Amino acid sequence: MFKSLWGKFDDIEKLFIKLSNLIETSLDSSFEAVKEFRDNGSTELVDELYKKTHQAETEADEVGREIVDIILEGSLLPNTRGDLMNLIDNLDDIADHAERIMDSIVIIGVDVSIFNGNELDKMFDLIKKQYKILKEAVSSLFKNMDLALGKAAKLEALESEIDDLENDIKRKLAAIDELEMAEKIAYSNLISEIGYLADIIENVGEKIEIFIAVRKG
Amino acid sequence: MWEISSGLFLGGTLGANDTSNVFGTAVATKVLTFENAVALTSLFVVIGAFLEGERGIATYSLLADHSLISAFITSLAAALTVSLMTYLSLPVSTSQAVVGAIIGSAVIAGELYLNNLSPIIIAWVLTPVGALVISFLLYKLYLIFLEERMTNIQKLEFYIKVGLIISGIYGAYSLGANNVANVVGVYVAADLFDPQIGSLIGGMSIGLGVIYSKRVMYTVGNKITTLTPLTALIAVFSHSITLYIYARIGIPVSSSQAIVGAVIGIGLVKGMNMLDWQMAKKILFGWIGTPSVAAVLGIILSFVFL
Repeated sequence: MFKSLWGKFDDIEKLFIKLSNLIETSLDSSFEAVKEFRDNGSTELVDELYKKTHQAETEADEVGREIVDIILEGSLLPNTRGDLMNLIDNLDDIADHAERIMDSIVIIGVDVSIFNGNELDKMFDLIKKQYKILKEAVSSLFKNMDLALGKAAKLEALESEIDDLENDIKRKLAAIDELEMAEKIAYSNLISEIGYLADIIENVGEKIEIFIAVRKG
Repeated sequence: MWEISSGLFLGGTLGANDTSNVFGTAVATKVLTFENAVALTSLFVVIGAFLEGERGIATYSLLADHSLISAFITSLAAALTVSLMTYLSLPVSTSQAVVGAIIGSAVIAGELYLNNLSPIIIAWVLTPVGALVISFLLYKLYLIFLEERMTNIQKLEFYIKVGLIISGIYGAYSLGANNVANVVGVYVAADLFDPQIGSLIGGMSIGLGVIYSKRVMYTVGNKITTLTPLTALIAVFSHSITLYIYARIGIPVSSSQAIVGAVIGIGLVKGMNMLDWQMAKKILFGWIGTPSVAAVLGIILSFVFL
């Protein structure tokens, strides 16, 4: 009775930290794969990073299932169960999207050498920084909701910064005379897809903010 | 002795309908199984009725003269009113049905002391208002003194779960103490039992009725839990305090109207208007419609049985 009232939050917390680390691995290695492919073409390192991304994503799915199993044992309040399951899905969306971006470049072999300036690397760095903050929000969510709230609130500002950078890159693409309109649109869409990662991360942050607001009454 | 049958019937309907506010939230949030909730409710309704049910019983004695047959008619009219209105999905309060039925049967068969009615009506009106004030204050106190300290989800959920069980137990005790008069008040007034034995029998009949409360308990519980878990706890606790206050005063009141008031109080703190006109109409109907229907049935049954 007491055990069921106390809930298995410690196990869930540990698994959420593991999940967010795996998603970070997946996100980082997908970005590295894209950068390596852009700079050196289809190399062994690209293959390695490609595998690492998929492997981390697969492991993240397994950890997500482990969390769901514990949640379904029923020691949490129903709305907490629902919210935590949604959080798993939301975090998983980040890894899925990063994986999709990498696949669409590396598998199809899109020539991204056009993005050889600093902007793309800066965009990747900002998204990684944004994700790191999200990861801190997730890891503090269980023991210190106020800290998690503070972290989650920072994500929006970074998302705006990434949006601005995304628009800069698109403007520069539009100014390149050598590119056909169709190429400009294709590259612009690719940049939008990368920028969308920041939206997904910010969205998870908002979910965390709502999660905390509901819990605190 | 057969005259008690309608009282037991009324106790059963009260248990099946009105106890849902007590543990509905705990059952809907799976903090307790329905079976455990039934066991706790039944036990504490009986204890509350036995230890503190006498005051409400005395109140009904002052409203009219009662004989065994008029007690039977009153309880039957009230039970039929509750059953009929539940069947028609109309809001119903057992306390208000009993008062209407007492008036109806006394009009035909005995003396009615209408001057003793005004405190009861005032209590009906003040029930949702009182619960509103209590929940408003409790929620404000939580926001001022506790909110900042509640940063650990595990501890917060633990407090909510334990709180739902404790406030449910308190609510069951208060309901027994407050509402047992509805079941046996008229029989005690007719000298069938002494108040303590009457309270025990009435409490047990309510306790038995709880077994049949599953559907209502889930419906009410799910409705209350549309609030956040913490505010649902405050609403249930405020409802329990309100019932207990009226048990101490000795006037049986509506637990459903208490929970409505408590929810509105929380809404006021949050800056949300939780009172829609549908709800206001339901409360007004509870004050006027329920006793009117019960009074008419009391009159009809008096013609049949007397």
